[in-house]
Amino acid sequence: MQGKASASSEFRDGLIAAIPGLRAFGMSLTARPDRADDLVQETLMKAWNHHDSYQQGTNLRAWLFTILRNEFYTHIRKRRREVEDADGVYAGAVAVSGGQESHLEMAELQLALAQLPDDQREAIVLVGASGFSYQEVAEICGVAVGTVKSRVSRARERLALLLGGDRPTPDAFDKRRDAAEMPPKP
Amino acid sequence: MTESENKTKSKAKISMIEQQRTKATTSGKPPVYDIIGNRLRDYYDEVAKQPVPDRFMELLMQLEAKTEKKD
Repeated sequence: MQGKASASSEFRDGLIAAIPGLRAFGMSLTARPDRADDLVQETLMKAWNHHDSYQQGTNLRAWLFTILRNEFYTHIRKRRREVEDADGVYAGAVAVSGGQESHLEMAELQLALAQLPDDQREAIVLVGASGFSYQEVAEICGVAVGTVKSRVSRARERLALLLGGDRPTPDAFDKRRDAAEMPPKP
Repeated sequence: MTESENKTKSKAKISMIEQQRTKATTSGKPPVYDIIGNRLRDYYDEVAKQPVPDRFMELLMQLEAKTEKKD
């Protein structure tokens, strides 16, 4: 009984420790703070309910990130139109940044990230910022290390173009949307 | 801005980026990639440095209470 209790509290402590990173990763996927936190909520519940399938002593953080990633693709990514709503993404990013000028760069990065294909975005965020190794990222994403590397490479190139050239702004998106004659936002 | 002015401007910007991309630094990577790396980390850390919101602590307490009840 003693062993079970301490394993349980170790598990819970591991979950708590992972939350900040999960929120950051979730934010990069959903581009909205409220959705990111909903995603983390689902992840924690799933992790708790599937405690049995976690092997104690193995990489808990990677296991949690895998759950979050799967949650995103299974339940949230379906809402394709909302993810591609650039104005909403920008507004969400600026909200997170608190409107501070120093954080405007982050809002721009958020907007640029939202324009990457999912596989490139998750690769560059996990490799570039979350602290996971290439091997761990490969396991989280369910692909080979080489695949992760090429996705990171393509993501970098794309971000370099997006950030180095015309800075995306809501105005620019309005103009492009008008030009493409997209239907008005509901 | 006319369309041809736009095209010229884009071409100029693209060649600037190309220069940045092919220019090597001491790390062997183009400087623009260093900037991207820094921005990614800043972006990620901006969220990750925040204290754990109450809702998650409360959730975990609820989940723990439920589990203890079962046992």
